Amino acid sequence: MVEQPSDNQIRPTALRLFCTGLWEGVTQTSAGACVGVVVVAGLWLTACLLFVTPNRLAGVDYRYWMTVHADHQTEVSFRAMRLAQAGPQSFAVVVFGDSATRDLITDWAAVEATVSKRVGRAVSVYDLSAKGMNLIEMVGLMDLIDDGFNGIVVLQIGQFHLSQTEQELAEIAELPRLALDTPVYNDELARVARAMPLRTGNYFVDHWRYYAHRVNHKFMKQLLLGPIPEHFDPRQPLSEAKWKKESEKITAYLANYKDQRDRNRAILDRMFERLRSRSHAEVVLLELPENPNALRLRSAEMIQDHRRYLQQWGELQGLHYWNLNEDAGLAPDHFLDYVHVDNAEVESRYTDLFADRLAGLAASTLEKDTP
Amino acid sequence: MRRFGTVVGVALQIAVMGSLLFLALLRLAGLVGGSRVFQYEGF
Repeated sequence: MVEQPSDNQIRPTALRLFCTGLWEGVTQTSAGACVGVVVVAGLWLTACLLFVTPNRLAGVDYRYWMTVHADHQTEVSFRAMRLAQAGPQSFAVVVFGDSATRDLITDWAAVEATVSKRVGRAVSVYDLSAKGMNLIEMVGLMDLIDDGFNGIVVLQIGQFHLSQTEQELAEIAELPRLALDTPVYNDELARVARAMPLRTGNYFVDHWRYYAHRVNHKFMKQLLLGPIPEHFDPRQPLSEAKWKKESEKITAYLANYKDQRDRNRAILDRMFERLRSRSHAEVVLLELPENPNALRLRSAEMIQDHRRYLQQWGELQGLHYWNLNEDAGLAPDHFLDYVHVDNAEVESRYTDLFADRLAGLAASTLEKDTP
Repeated sequence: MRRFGTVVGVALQIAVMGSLLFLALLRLAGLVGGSRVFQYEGF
């Protein structure tokens, strides 16, 4: 009589056989496997072409694509996709700015809470500020504000923004930073760029470069171990020598101001007009918070002229012009450089001031709209 | 069982290598196309 193997004897043998087969399958190459590899790569490409859309990406944790903490453009791109996906809202606030805003208003939940409390309803506040935003990127993102939007659009602006040259604005045609484009973004870029980036209407074809230059070892690591943690990128204060160098650059840069400001204002005016024609948005021009030492590099006359310019622009176009810098008591020792604040007390004071002004405007806007 | 293991192994190889090939080609296309993360220099 043949002795039957026990369960304990069968399992290791089956497992061993499976593992042997598995190892062979994984390690041995064959023509069929090579074809299969190419087919799978093709399937990935097809899937990207068919299924990668801003609407689907809006739900993805964007930190997987951030291979460095300072990749603010990824943050704003994906937040803007969420804003677009959310569609028209009963009342919302969208803030566009650059690193100066990012560093100064650090508690957006507090802003949201203050505004919501004042108006007696939940108000979403979207922070779409990123370092070094150029005006075309700002209006491009603003274009994602849906038809029928009801709320407040805040645009942080200063002499630096109005001094941007055509060449500077056109840089994003060659080296795009955002993971999206909009009709306004393309229209404005076409006005300044010598060659436009490829626009086919297929999101992945139009924006593959954004993803291509983020596929690296850090991205692979994040795919396996999880996304980059939330982290505030601490800046270092400028040394005296660096400050001197920066001061020279600021002075040279602002020499463009008078020549460029009307052209740059026109970019924003075109966007505001579109915004007004399709939504009910109150627009606020928020003066850039600047280090008083950086302001001293300019004549008092130049600063006054700029403020008057913004005020007149606001009056003419029905925009609100806010300058919270004096009320916030910004002093040179609060700054790391010409615009970046590193002082918790000042950040909190500015955030409160901003939230308060915003809440006041939100309340009066809603009151006006109530029949 | 061994045959089943081989089939799973080949499928695994194809899936992993195919995915890596796609990412590598995307990266290569980015490099050839002169793609890089544009970092604003600012001041």
